[in-house]
Amino acid sequence: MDEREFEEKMRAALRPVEAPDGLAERIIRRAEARAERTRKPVTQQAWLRWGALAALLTMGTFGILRWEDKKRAEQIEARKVAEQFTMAMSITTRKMARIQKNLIVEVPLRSGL
Amino acid sequence: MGSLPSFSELVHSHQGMVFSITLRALGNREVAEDLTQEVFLSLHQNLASIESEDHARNWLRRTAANRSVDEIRRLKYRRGPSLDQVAEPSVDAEESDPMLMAQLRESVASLPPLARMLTIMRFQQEMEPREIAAELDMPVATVKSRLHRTMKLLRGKLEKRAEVRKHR
Amino acid sequence: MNSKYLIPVVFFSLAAFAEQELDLSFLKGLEAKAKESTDINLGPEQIQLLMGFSGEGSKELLGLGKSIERVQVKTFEFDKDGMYSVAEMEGLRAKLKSGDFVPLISVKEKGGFTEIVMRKGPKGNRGFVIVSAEAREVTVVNIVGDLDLASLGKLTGKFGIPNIQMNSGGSSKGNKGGKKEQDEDEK
Repeated sequence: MDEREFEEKMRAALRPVEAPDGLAERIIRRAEARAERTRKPVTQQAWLRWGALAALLTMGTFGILRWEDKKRAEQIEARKVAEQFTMAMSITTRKMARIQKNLIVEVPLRSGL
Repeated sequence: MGSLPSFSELVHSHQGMVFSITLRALGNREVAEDLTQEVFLSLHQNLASIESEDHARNWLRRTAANRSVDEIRRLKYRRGPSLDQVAEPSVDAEESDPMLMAQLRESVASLPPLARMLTIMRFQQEMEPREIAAELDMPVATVKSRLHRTMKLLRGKLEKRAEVRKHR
Repeated sequence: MNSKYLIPVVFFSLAAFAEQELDLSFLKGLEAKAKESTDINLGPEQIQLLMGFSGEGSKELLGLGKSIERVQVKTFEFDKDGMYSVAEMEGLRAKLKSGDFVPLISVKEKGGFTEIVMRKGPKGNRGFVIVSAEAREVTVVNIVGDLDLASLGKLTGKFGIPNIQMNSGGSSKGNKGGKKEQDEDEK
């Protein structure tokens, strides 16, 4: 199988699929329900309760959420770096092995020589 | 650019794209659907910042890709699911070799997360390496190199299986 | 410390630090001609990010990353011979024969060369540089830190790094067992 044929097979194997029946409706319903929750009128008592809690929790919650967001973003960045680092080590190791193989006189790969 | 369609229109237009990305990435319809819903709910929350249909499509594709990669790593779907878990529709006219198709999908499902996503972006979403690099915030050279290595690996696996089948 | 010495020391340190990154901008023109290329440049900030990595396999990666300050890797693969001129690499080659670099391996072949040099530091080796110019491939690796070549051998077979035997004791043969490439998922 040549490269072009292989790529065509890959396209065929990974071709887009239909979304499950009713998925769009489920999504729209959930989005509307979520929007509804934020709009729902709150009783005065609930307002007072929330007001008090909000005063106590705003800084802490906001701080925690931001910290979580920050941590998550850091992990994503760290993963990207890890991928690149691993690739760099892979290329280096492969190159070293090839150089070693091609040498007529083998030189030990020890530092300090 | 055009005016922005409603959220409902965006869902109907792009649910297939998002579901396809998540399904091929995660290999499980239930998890793929959950993630698809999450991606669209995120879109709903960020709708104010979306400027056009094109922007929405690109946003959805990028988010689906990144969330899928995160989900793969979280759930450790490294080995990929058994083929039963991916309830593919019955063989359609385009699949002249269903066995080969299944093998290719299984091989893709066993790739490491990023390689898997690059493969999906390239061969399902028909994106050029430059576009993939921009969407996933990676250097173009790295995308090209990773794709090249991944294709070599997949072809090798396929050839090995063909050899094994021949000698049975 | 007397403040009048502080500024020159700071500048010297910064300069020395900056020196450890190789200027590979002269290779920019090769990217357009190459069929495949890789460009990795991880400096101290990125290595620091790596230290925060907590995914699978992080323990070993971090163990290695602890000793490294900078990783530069550039590779170019060409479709055919003659897509670049080896003379373009001579400037870098000359630089590696001076200053803090100690030659370890220097091989000149038809149409190319290979250089491996160690970087000297105040307390011993501070990494190494590999420059390989072949007919259809150019590779430059610059690793700054306390990693030596033998340490790379410990990584083989992990994280998608090929399971290649790197002889560190001087055996009579080359690679044993062949270049069996292992994907991260294949065990």
